[in-house]
Amino acid sequence: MSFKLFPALFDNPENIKLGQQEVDEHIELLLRQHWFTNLSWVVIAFLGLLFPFIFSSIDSIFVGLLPQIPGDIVMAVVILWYMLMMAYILERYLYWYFNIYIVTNIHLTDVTMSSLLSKTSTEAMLEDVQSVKTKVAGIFGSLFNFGDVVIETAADKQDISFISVPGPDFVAERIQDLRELVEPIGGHNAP
Amino acid sequence: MPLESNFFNPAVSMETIWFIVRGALVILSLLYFVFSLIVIRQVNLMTDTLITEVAPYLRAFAIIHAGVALGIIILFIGFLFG
Repeated sequence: MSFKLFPALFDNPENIKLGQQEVDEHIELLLRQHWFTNLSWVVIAFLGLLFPFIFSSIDSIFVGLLPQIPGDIVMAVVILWYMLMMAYILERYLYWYFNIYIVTNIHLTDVTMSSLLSKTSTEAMLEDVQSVKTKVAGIFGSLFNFGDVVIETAADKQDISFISVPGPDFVAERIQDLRELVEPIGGHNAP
Repeated sequence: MPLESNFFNPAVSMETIWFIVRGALVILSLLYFVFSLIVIRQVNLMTDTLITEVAPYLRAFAIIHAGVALGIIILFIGFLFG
């Protein structure tokens, strides 16, 4: 099994199941946001991990505050700083890891972990899909091929947006193909 | 020049201030432990929603993380007040 730190696109994944998956349902696509969307917090975390070293270097050259503080308190503050950095990294990684977009042969699901205390799930049946649009914006979106896929559903249902997913054109085409399988052109379900 | 003569009222001794700081550090480590329990709950909730082969490792990591957070509380009490 190959290990990827930020796996974002699974096409027909075999070892992934939904908790409330129906018997004749299988996952066609599982998506997360493109790895590039994680870059900002990875850089912040990296700088945060270096901060105690930078601070102590600057302090020893210019200020000299640390020698006046009891050693046990300095050590506790450094440990606490790294705990806070750990909390930040964990929260950001889990937020990315558990914000998932799922396309099955029956429906579309957008599972969002808004924070560590809340989860929302939006579902739409494939047969309710009316149009699928893609939007690739910015230099990095074009360079790394990621963008939004907006799925418009029947008027009384909520639209679903897959934000910053890799290969938006491929995803949109796949959803269109599945949509046609569920209800062939002409508007009637296959017998 | 000593720190206390610059910044603090001499009526409040530095020992009192350091005691308060030590207490605050222990309270912050307790809050971190609460955070680690929330992480366990959320990981369990989400791994029930999406069942993958990585799920057991994520759950194990969340539990170990909470264990480390608990260890740090004990460590803090030990070397800040011991």
